[in-house]
Amino acid sequence: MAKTTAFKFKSFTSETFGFTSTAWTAEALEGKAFPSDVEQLISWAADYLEPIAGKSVAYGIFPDNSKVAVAICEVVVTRHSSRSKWVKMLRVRLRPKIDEALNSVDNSSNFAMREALAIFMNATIGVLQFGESENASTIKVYGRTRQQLDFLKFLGIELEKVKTNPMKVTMEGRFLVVKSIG
Amino acid sequence: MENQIIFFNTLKNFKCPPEAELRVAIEQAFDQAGPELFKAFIKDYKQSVDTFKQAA
Repeated sequence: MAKTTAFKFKSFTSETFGFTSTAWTAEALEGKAFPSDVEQLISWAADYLEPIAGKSVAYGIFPDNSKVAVAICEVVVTRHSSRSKWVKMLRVRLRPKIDEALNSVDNSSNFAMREALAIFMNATIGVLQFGESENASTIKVYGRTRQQLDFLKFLGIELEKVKTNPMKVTMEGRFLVVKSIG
Repeated sequence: MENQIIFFNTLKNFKCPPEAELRVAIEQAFDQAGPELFKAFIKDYKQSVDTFKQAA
């Protein structure tokens, strides 16, 4: 039975961002991703490591005891009105070697699929927990394409089935919108 | 002077469900959507920064 890796959603430190940047860049240069694509992402994240209201923040998904993130998440906190604060998750970018394995045609694809699911799971749970800690009223998950929105609809249906602290979930434009009820 | 009653449309703060229940829900969503749709979902996040700036 394959060992399941435990992941944590957390902010970057200058040290963990440095390790992540080095590892991701090396993997891109080995051909696991377009170097310019990774360079653009790392350059963007370097400017958004500290939370500033209304601006994006880069969060990492880290395996236990690792300083290299397996994914970078873009999260933004916006104040819609004096009584309404939104936390939005805009994207989850996988580490190049996981992304490459996910798209391969051999057995590594199945393992990478489970790893990608575990990463997305931790990103989603992380952003929901972050929303509670920020006293947000609404959590939103962005979907850019038709296929992303289709997946988010499945996610919304299942999130509404959660019994403890039940949620109302709707699709509004390109966002899955999650609020507490009861 | 008449008493005025002002109704505030109070928005609840989000209360996060337990992690274990969320894990089951997300796993179920993956099973229902299927691996190909999930793979497409993850791949589609590889877009330009500008796209996400607009969403923010």
